[in-house]
Amino acid sequence: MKSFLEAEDLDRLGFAILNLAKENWAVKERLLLLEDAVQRSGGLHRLDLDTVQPEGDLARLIDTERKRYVSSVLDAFKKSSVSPQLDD
Amino acid sequence: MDYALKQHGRASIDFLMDAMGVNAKNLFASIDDKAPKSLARSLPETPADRGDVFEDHMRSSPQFRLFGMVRRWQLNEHGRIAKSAFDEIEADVADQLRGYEQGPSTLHLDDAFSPPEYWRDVPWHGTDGGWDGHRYMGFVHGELVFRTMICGSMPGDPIAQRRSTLDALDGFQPEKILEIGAGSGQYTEVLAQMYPEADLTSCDLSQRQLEHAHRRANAQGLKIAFRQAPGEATGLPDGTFDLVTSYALFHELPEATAKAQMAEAFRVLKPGGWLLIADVKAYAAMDVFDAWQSDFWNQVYGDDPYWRAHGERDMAGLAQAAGFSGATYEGLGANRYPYVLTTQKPAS
Repeated sequence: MKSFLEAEDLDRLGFAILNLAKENWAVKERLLLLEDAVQRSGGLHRLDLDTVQPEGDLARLIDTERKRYVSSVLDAFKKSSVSPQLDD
Repeated sequence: MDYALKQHGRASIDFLMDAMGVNAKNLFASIDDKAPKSLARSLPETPADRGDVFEDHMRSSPQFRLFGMVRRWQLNEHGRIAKSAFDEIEADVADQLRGYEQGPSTLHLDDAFSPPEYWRDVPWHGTDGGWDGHRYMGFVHGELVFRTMICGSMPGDPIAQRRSTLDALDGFQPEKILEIGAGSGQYTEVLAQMYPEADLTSCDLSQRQLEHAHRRANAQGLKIAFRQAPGEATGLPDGTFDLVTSYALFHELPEATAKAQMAEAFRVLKPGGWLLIADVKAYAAMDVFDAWQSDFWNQVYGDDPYWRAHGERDMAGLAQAAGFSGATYEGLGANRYPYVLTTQKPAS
């Protein structure tokens, strides 16, 4: 069966995946903030997550998780490819 | 500027910056010790033809193809992400921004201004809609793209690079300065801080960038005269300035405009006045592989239509043809960046 997408569509497919990944990260980070805030305050009603500026251990956790998350998305491309042939 | 991004905008920008950082590490870890130096032995003459040889070779690498795709995504999306992040905080910062429209600096917009063909609607560096592509495009680019994304991810300190560029004047203290290409005012502020007694005028084509440069100057209590005018026809009097200068402008100029701006600088300078133009590295300063990378990521895939023209431009020759004397054109600072033309209008 011939695929619908052509080779020239691959970049656009990649863009779409990265946009999805970006949105997914925003949600994932929001959950981390939420979990932290809930733990601290004991309730949701006074939360305004939009204005939370993560600091200290939470900021470091988010930074580490984000880098791991980005790597996991990009590594998926590498694992499906053949080994690089960069010099002849 | 006093602002805090909302969670979605902040997380989106962080993601974009990390995507580029991780992506670059993946690529450069694979080519650092395997750069195709063997290709450099017998290459075609022109950058375009050389580019074809390198591109064909590099596309055999999955890391390269991945890097290219992610870089293009970053280029396509960074402006939209920045605009979206601004839209989330516009209501919070609108009063502050309006307040900065008053202060010691002035802004003269030209109601009859007609942007030149080479500039109109070009998505420079992947800006979404060009330099005027949003009612607050100056904030979007100046604060979120330049100050956050670029300063947060580029090697070196872009503000310190602007400051150290002025060392090329070897202590000269200009009394009247004209900057061409204010943008969102990043180099303008350096000029105002380095020469606090000088009378500083700064031109640009973009209304939205000028508006933000004006706001930033007022926020810092700086007195600068901003005016909307092309660098090749400033409308300013002959023989007025001690220094005419620009930073990161000339790579956005076609050849005829670059020549015209040199001629205009010559006209408005006093006898003995200095011209200092800082911009990206000349191709001649790089090995053929790095020159190809610069060309490929900026001219071919970077929405920079005059990058190659500038990379190959004989800046010292242009200055000489415009009447300047004693031109030097060389890389300053770490890694020979930026590349700087320094020259003078003859004293008599």
